[in-house]
Amino acid sequence: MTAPAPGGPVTSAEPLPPAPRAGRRPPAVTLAGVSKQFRLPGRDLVALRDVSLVVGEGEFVSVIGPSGCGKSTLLRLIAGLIGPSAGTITIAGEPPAQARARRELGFVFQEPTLLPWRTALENVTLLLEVARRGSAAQRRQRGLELLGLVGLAEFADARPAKLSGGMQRRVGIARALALDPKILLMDEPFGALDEITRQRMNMELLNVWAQRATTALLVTHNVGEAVFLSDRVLVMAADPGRMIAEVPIDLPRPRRLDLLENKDFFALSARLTRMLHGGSAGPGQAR
Amino acid sequence: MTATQGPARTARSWLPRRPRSALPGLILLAALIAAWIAVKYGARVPDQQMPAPLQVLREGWGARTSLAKAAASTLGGALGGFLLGNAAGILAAVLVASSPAAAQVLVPFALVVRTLPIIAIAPLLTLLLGTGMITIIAVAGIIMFFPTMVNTVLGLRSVPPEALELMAVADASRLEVLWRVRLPTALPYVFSGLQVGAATCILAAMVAEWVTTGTGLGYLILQAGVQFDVGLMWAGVLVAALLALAVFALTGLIARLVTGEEARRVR
Amino acid sequence: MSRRASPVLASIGVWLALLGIWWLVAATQQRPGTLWPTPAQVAVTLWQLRGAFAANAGTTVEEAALGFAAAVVLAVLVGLAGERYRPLAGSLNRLAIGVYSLPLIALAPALVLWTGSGLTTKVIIAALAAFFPVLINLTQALRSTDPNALELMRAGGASSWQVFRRVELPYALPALFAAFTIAAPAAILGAMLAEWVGADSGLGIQLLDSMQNDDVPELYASLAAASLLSLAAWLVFSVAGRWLFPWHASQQAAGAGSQQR
Repeated sequence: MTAPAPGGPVTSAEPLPPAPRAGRRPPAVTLAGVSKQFRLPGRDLVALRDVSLVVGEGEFVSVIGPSGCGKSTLLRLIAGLIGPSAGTITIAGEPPAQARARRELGFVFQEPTLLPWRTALENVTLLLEVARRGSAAQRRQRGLELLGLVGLAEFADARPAKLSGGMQRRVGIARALALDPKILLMDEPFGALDEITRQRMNMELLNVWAQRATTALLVTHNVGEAVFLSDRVLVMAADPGRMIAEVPIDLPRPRRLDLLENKDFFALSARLTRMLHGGSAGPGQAR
Repeated sequence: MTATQGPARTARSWLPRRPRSALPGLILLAALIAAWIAVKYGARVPDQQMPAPLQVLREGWGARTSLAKAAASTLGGALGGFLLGNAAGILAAVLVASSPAAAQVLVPFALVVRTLPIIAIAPLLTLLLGTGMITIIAVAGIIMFFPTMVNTVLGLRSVPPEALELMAVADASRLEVLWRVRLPTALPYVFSGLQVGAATCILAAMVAEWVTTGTGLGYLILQAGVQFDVGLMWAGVLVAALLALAVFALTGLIARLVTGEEARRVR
Repeated sequence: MSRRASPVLASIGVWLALLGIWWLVAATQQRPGTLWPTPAQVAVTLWQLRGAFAANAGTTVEEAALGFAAAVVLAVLVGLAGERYRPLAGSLNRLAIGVYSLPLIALAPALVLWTGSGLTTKVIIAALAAFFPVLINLTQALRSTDPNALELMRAGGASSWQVFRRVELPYALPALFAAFTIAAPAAILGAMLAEWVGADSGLGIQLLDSMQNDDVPELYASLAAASLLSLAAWLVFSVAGRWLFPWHASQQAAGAGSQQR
């Protein structure tokens, strides 16, 4: 459980040890030596090089890193939307395709991209319709539940055009939870929001996560958010994208907004920020 | 949890182009009629060349059955071509969208065909299909086919990648993605071309009638002109203009209704 | 470079494939009076009647060119007037859009009564066909002139004419040429359709006559000639646009390779 020295890179030849809070069951997500290259006209882009990590069941893990470090690619590899060039990815011991087939994954996107011709409620129930779960009435009921969870029950019949950016994001979260996923993957979901809204949404996310005992993997560039939400924070560097550090967050749960003024919180944030700087100024090709 | 922010102030439409009002066309028609009156009485043009508006209306009313039949014929041909052309265009677009290779090949082809004088194909079709309604429908259909296909392909392709990723994470089948995401996304693109397309179908039908002869407003106007039946000719022109405007307005109305209704219907 | 060439090659491939299919179908339909001459027969007819085709094409081109020129001049004048006098612009724009809903070309027979079966009628119809694409594109282009450039000129004390000559016109020319690639083929089509209403010569009449004479090879040949003419018109302005304005976004989009991750 020892954290690596601040600013120093860690070789990730072995999967990093899971946090003590994780249970005895197989880890929710395992990556071993995963690399990803993209073939572009004229050159190959190495998005990720030799990334290994483990996420235990029920954990909340954040991944932070500079732009171009491959965080979004990482999430999409885990979801099985793209395949690795090397290495293996397993979800509860099985390939991602299985997890998708069993509809165990929820994905929250950077831009919510709700379908504009469907109401908020219909956007949430979309995946239930695809999975053919329940009758129309049951789906509607569940959709309303989920919208209530994110505080948008009264906007159930509103079209996305009538909702603000923050509201659309909340619908996006409700939508990701529709199929009751075991693993929630989130790609900078609160990226462009102002600080106040972001903090409120963080709280809502924690509530939702606590209620469902889901495993959560969040990608963000906001260090404070990562510290506030997670059990562990993984730090990545760019050029090529790789994992350089892992920091357990030992702050008490349930987390409250007053934590943002806590000195331990500051210390952890500062340490991670230093690591981020160290990572982007570190070895690698000059752009 | 309380809602912290209210809804957005303005709802931006997600249609690429709002359905057009038929009012400009109506104004244009009124302006042309006003100019007619001004020229006729201002320059004292004889009745043989420019009949008085009242006379046109009188003769039109007298010939109302043949005018109505001609209008119905033109409308039938245009409508048949409109429906067939659109159906074929959408189908072709779906096929093209399912095969990226086909798209790369067929879409530039369709864009080239756009520069060709398609209505000029009417004589050939008359030889192949005869001088009946079927040729009119074929001409109008071909005219409608290509723009609809190109528009639909554009729409099918303009689905935001997150929407496709969402469906992938939920393990949706290709058919589900097509039905629930791609086609609804393409619908506004299809509609953006329908209004002008409908009026163009009327135009195509009338021009095709010059070649096939027999029935329809285009033929009626041509015949009346050749026989110097000036009153009837201009009555036919007026009916044709009104018919086209009506079709234009109707398609606009339907577009508004359908895309408005989309929001309420749960798929 | 190969990225830009491949859609063109693919298109050519499609045309060749269609030609091949046509040839196959025609080969099975060989008999007198068949409706499916082979491409070879059509080419032969085109060659044998080349004198007539040249003369007719010349007539049609003359009608279309005059109509096109008139349309462009008129559209530029109207467009500029609309730009200078804003209240006028609104009504003009509305009128221009209104035309989409009226089948003006189909009313050509009525026009014949006034202007006869001569050149004038054809020129007017061709001009009608070419006018509105040019006007609408021009209006849009003038409206979307970079406001920063305009402000720069005005702040520097430029006169209205100077602003037009140095900023608005250069900005609008590429869009204008893009409109020409649509308006020129439209003028050709307009001229041909006008010939159907009454003419002595022209590709349109040749097309109609060959239908009435049941001369199938000549019909196909006329169609081919008309298509080639239209394509040539499109090509001329397309190439001219690319050559004159390579810096414009519309020309660059065609050439730039797409970088995808």
